Amino acid sequence: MSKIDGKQLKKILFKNVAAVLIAAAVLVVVWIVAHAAVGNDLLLPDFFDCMRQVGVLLKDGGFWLAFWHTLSRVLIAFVFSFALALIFALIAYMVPWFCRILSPAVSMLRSLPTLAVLLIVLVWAGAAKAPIVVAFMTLFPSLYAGILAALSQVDGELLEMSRVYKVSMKKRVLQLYIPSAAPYVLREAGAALAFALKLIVSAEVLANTWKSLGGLMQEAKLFYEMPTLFALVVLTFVVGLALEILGAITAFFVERRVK
Amino acid sequence: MKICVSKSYGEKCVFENFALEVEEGEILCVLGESGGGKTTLLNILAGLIPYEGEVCGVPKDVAYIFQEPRLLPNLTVEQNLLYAGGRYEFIEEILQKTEILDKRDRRPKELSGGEKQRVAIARAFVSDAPLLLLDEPFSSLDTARKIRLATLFAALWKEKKKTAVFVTHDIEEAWMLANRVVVLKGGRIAADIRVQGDIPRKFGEGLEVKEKLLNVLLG
Repeated sequence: MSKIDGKQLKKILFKNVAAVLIAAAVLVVVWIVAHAAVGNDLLLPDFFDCMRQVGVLLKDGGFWLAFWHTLSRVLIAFVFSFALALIFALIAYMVPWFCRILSPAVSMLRSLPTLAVLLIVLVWAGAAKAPIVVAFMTLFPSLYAGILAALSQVDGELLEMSRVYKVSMKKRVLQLYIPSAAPYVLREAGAALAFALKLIVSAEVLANTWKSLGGLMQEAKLFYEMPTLFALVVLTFVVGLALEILGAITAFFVERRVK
Repeated sequence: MKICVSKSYGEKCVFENFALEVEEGEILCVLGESGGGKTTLLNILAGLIPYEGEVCGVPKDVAYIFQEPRLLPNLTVEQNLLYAGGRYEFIEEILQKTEILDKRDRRPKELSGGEKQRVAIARAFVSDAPLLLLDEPFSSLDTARKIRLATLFAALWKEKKKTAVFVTHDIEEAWMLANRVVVLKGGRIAADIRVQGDIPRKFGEGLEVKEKLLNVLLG
């Protein structure tokens, strides 16, 4: 990597890290002030109690097991949604009639009230699998639309040149479509991964999935263990943020490589 | 190669029963004003746009040098040539001839405008296509680069003797490279002039031919 790349990366990282730290500091201050104003630990626990609880959770094997179960659901839902969205978007981009056929189905999936559907899926698939199905139903249409939009941004002049030189479809996909669409798709995917975590945890809370972050939250809520509940929310937020940052960094490097 | 086509864009008619014959191995220059249908003609020959009428004898494979180099930004010079079907064993030779051998592992962003256009020329000549289409390939270059690239093009053409249809609005370019110049005006051929002599002809010479072409264009 050249010097300029390193400098730019440092600048971007510094800007983003600084923004995150400032936002987090503001939230902490608001929390502390709100706690003092409310004066009720059941409604809003003390920030420092909550942080102590974060420490306790991080040392607890049960938490890590729940975390792993939730994360694996997130990854399964994401990989499945992304792979299918990529395949369907590529076909839809190249075969216009397929795009027209798929369009109403995608619109229908988009407008479904996801968490309401969860109740039906819960009956069909059970509490362990229902969050995955629900996350897929939300992620697939948005990833499909994002990938399709990224593909339609591929340079028309390069496509024309490829047609003239009769470049094979395999070469076009691997050397033109994927590299051109990759930065946008990866950015979309990074955001989708964080969103998948949010969806899965919400669905787990509703489904009361056993040995999951959502399940632990539901349990904490039932026993009014507010510091634990808040600690779980904070940890979920941090993981979501980390996933989004990971996606953005990957997209940045791919973009540098491609452009 | 015979062309007899009509082409309209909505209400606007570009060609109506436009007929042109291109001889094998010649450099035919289509000279005309901007927006006169020159690029449309090349796109018809390349099979990029639909048209009415007939185009006979156009080979299956054509090479096209566009106004812009149209290189894939994520690929190196060598990979760009391979992408367009260039055969690996000929790449070193063509890069040497186009004087960009030392740039074979560079990406387009690391090249100057002239170097990029050299890659586009190399891409066209490394392919087996017997027909070359050129759409004002030197129009964005300064005079010195234009002369250098025209000289390079002429040297490569002499070696491969591919049929070339070259469109331009620049009389000087037409003079330097064409065996035959067709002046396109209002969708019709206003003049068809053979130009004698070896190419590349000297920049600035050929006043008689250029005056003739200019009179047709202005007339």
